[in-house]
Amino acid sequence: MSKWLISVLFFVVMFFEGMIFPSIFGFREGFLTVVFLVAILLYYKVDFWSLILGTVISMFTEFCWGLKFGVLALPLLASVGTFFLLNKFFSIKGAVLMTISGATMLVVFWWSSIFINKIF
Amino acid sequence: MITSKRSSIRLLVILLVAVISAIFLNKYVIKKSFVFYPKFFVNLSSSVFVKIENFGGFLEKIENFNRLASENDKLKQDIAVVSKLEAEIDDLKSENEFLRRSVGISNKLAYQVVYAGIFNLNLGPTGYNVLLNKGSSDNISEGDIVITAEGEIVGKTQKVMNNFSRVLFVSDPEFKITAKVMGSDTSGISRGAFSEGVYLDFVIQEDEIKEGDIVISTGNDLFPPALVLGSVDHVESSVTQMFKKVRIRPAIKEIKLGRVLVIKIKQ
Repeated sequence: MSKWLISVLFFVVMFFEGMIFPSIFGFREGFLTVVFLVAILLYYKVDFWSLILGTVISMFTEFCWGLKFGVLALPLLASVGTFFLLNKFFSIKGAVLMTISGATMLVVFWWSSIFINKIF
Repeated sequence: MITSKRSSIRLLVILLVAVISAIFLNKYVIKKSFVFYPKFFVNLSSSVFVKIENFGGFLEKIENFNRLASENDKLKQDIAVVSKLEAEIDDLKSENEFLRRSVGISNKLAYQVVYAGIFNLNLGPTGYNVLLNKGSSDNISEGDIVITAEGEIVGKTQKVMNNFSRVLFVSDPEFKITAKVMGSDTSGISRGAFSEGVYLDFVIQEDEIKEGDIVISTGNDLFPPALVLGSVDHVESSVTQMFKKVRIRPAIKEIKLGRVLVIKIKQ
């Protein structure tokens, strides 16, 4: 899938999660945007371009949500580090292992974001 | 494959250094003066949010037409009761003012109110991200209280940018307020619990509280009194515990959020 298409898809997800779902269906919680960020990396198996794309759109999201600078970009890079670390010990190829590593990345992303938000 | 992995790791290190440098640059050189949202975009998003919300409400109304008809009959009856109560309140108000004047107590603080709109809701790792279309250019400051027109607490402003603000949602764990059960002396401190709603802490076992009770702000902190927080959803009592476990369903779960009021605490 082209990088431009993914970027557009990301904005669509952000728009739907932030505006459409809460306003039409009254959803008050959901973390589709964050899951999408991790999914991009997993889809491309954390290659050169997915890393750059992930960092750029996570920084964009920080501005959009009025978050502290780096509160999403740094955890994303931390979760990438976790992915490399997992790759060093396991051969992540099958769907199950991919899902487990994705969930691990998400947990690392989530908690490191809370941690970074507290220290900056 | 190995070369590609190595180049990815090298890029990861470069990006880490770049992002950390950017964070320090933003914090100490630019001093967070960068504003992302253009004003027209904030206004556009806000009006789109309200329009979509109204459309969603319209669809819901069609679905519940029969229920609305019976509710309408009941509401007509309620109006008569409310009118009587209004007359009583009016009488009590004038009596209260007279008594205050008599004993020299100043009138309740009159807060300045700003009309605003919510245009984005998201659950991020750092909590709920609710964005408001008013910022420091509209005299909004950090710590201002956000409520609905019906007096239900939405949250308080946490970060104020030039033309928009981020609101700490009532269900965010960082959000705390002293609250009491309406028409009773039972009080405690409420704290957000994300999707679980809100918990009311420090309610002792002897205190009377039941499901369906309305919980309001006490006014013993920075929040004005009598703002509706929600209704008691679940009460758990245990003789081995000092406090009851009280879960509140926030009022904002049931209502539209497009248009809100900001109570300016800092005048």
